[in-house]
Amino acid sequence: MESEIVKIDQLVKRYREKLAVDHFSMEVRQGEILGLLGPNGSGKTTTINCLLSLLKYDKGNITVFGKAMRPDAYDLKGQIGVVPQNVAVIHTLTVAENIDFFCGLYIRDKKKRKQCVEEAIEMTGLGEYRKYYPKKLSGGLLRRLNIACGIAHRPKLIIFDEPTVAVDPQSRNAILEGIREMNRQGATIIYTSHYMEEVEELCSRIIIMDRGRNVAEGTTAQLKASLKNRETIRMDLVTCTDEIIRDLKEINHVYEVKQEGEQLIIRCDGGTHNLLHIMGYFEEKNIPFGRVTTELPTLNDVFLEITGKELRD
Amino acid sequence: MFCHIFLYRIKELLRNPWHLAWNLIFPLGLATAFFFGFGNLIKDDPEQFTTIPVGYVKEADQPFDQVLTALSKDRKDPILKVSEYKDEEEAKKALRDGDTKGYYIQKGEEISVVVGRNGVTSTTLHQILKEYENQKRVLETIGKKHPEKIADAVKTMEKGQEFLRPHVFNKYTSVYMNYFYSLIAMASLYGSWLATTMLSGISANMSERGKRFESAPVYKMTSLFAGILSTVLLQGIFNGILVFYIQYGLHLSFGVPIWQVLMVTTVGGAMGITIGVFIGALVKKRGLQMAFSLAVSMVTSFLSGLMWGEIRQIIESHIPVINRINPAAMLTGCLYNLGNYGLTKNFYRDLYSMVILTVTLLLVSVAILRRRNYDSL
Amino acid sequence: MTVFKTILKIAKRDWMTILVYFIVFACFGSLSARGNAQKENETYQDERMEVAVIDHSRSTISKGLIQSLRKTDKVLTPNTEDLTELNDDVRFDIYDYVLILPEDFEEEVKAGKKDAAEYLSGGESICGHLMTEKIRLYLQDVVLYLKSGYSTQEAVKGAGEAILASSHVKSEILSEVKTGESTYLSGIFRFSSYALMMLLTEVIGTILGNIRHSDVRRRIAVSGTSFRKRNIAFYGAVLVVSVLMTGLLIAFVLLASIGDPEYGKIPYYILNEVAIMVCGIGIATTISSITTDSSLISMISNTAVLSMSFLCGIFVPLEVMSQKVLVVSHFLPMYWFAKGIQYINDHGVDAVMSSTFYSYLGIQVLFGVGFFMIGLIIFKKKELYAV
Repeated sequence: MESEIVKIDQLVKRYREKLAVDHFSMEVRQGEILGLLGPNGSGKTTTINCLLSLLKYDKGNITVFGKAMRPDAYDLKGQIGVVPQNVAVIHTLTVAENIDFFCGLYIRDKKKRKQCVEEAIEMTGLGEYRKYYPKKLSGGLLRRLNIACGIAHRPKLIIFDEPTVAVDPQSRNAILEGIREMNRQGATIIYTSHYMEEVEELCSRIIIMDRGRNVAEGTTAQLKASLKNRETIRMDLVTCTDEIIRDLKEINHVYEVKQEGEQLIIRCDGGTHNLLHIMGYFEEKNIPFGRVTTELPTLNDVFLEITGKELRD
Repeated sequence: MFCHIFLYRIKELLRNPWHLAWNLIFPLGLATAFFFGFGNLIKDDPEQFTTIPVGYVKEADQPFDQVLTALSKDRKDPILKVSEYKDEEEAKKALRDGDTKGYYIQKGEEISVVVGRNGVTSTTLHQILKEYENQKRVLETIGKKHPEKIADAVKTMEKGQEFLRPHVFNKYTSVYMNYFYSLIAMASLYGSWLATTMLSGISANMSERGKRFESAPVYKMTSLFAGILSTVLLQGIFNGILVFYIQYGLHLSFGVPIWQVLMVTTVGGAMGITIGVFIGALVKKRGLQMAFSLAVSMVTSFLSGLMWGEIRQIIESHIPVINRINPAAMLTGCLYNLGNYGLTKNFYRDLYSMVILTVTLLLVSVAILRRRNYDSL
Repeated sequence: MTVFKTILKIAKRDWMTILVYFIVFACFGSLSARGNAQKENETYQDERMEVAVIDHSRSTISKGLIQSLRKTDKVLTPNTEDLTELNDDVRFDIYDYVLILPEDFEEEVKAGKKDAAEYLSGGESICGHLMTEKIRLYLQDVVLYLKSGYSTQEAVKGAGEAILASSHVKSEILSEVKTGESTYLSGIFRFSSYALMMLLTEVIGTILGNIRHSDVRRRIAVSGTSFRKRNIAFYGAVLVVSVLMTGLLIAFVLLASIGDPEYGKIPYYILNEVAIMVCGIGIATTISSITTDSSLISMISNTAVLSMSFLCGIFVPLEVMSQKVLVVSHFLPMYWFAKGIQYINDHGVDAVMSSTFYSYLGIQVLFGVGFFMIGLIIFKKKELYAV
């Protein structure tokens, strides 16, 4: 059984009247990339801050590498790398100096630190910018610097808190690839985001958070499999009669048929080749139709089904 | 770890243009403005007694002529510079034009004085006339009762006996140097901004890099003391540059060996830093920290004589306890006593007060910051 | 929200800055104006000096001397006998003179000793010279009487009478001479220029800096309001904020100086204040065109205004400044404000409005317009070259 690197048990954190984290539990297994997905204000950053012992919490237990996490647990902190949500660099130090400074808080040996810094610069593609000051960097490069400062010391556990906010697609891809590479090299990763596409793409396991609670947990496939709706087919139809709707509902795996304006929305709860069967019906009945699209369920659909709202609400 | 943080803090702060501007360039600029504003007062004290130009309109020779001669010609430092005028109109014109401060006019037996305005100079001219009348009267009185003593009395008067001796202190610097001492005090207190910037870099509730810093395996006290030492060093250097500029750039002497001045300003700089650490420990919002630091610096500096030189002494005469707790007044007082009286008890009182304030604020701040946990970030 | 309202809202957020400078002005400006105010006299009066006397002797001669001094000066017993503290009191004008009469004072005087007593007078000051001479005269009279066979009591009495009799010497003031004593009103209005300039450069500079920030500017530029309307609203709001801040300072002065004999000159002081307000707006425009960073604006404002205050006769009287420096001061707007203050102070209510006074006002306004234009030009050039 994979060992647990992080275990959060029944965490409760309150900000005066507001309950930010409500009996939240999670485990992070060694070598995995765990995604923590939730809308803004769901408690992801608060959970991370409690995990890092930056925040006091009201109830619960947090262990990291099998030991209780405390503000003075320096041996544990030395193995954790943090890439915070907002860029956390020193603006009067150059790129190389920033990475060296923060790496130096973890690694005392100068020679080893120098090597780590060089590797971090190379990994994040900041080689030609090493003498630049942060204010001269674009948003994407700044994010890369933010990452380099958090991972230079080769931590065993890396926490990324929404690292791709306001980043251009090229940089974003580079960041995601870099995270995969770090994972391949043995790091366990906690990745928080409200971008479901990233989490789907990157994470081996996902926890969905809402209002401070763990509302769903599993791999992408497991989460989607929990949905009733497995496929949504949309068809542009000029005229739609009740007979057509009735007939479509007779087709295997079709559980819902709805008309929205000139579009027909057909939801299927499983099966394969659903589109073939449906189009076969229209051809058979000689009913003309326009554009047809088919969608597989997303994590947003999972979230919507569980909470009744969109991830981006 | 300590050295690593210490060196990087110096780099970080030294490259911050805002700190360079406020902590180094602004005091240098203000010192230059002070110099242009009243540098000449330091070199040529306006309170210094200078020969008074006076007019004289006489009708005929009088004993009073001899008085004026004695005061203007027969001495090394003449009290008067006498210009004779033909008539009163000429004398009035000279007074109106500012060539004289007043004029004596003889009308028959009587001599009177006309001046342009009330003041010490006019009173001096008046006093000369009073003295003349006084001596006449005394001689008359003595002559009536003891005429045999008149000759002795005249001799004594002519000798002009002195009775008073000024108390001289070993050192002296111009009272206007107090403005520069206040400026150094203000610059030292601006060190509180260096401290709050340093603190925001190591506190999770003040900045993002503070969060990153507190996530790292660094002992809080190590990072705090490394930061404090770096800021004390920087502020000490800035103060030193200011002192050197005043002494060697503007050629205004502090009156004592420069190492003594640097010692005092270094302690003053450390005091400013610990005030900043204290403010940073109590106040979370960056904007409020800056506002508090500015308010403390400006109010205490004003009360130490930055814009009105006399105020520190006025406070010392009426409510001395304020000067005992005002950090700017402590530093100003220290430098003032050093330059004017040397290593006296007042100097040590102010120096030890600065040290005690520095240590107290440091201990209180450490106690607050040491076990600080955050409820929110 | 209109541009006008936005400017007012931004200004309101700077309430702390406004409060700090208002308090500095109200407390310190008032204190120093009161401390430096002098009364103008049309008749001659001897200057009454504050003399601190420490009498260890308590002898007939010492008592006689003190009594004689009381007739012409204010004689005080100091709280301390520490010489350094007393010296500081003299140097910083708490006292004009300190006289220390030792226990054997009377004997030393009778023996004709030159150091019968000690004094402190802050170096070779004119006050010290005058006071020393007064005391010397009295003691000389006493010695003369003693040498002439009078008893100590008689000598003291005689010396006192002689001093009193000689006070009837005639002295007059020539009224046509300009006196230039600084009044409370001139002092507080002079100080107000520092507070006002700081307020204008910081608050207006910050407003302009905010609005001139590139993204904000672009957003405003693509709005539906015409360029002309926007700028009228914008500069109108800036003017309103400036007038409000100026009005606040003037209101304080009006309240603080009720009953002042110079109250009739207040409209002239207000005119002078308005002129420097215009100048302040111009300087704020220039500063905000150089940078939009509020910290830098604050730094430049403090440096410029404090330096000008010291070079232009605001904190240091123009009369004591060196001529070379005054040549440079002519090129600074606060110098003309200080000249205006001095002019109002030195002339009667009916004599202020003259071409000279108008020229002082005009120069200040010209400076303001000039700085305003410079600010606009810099701003335009920066836009053109995308700086």
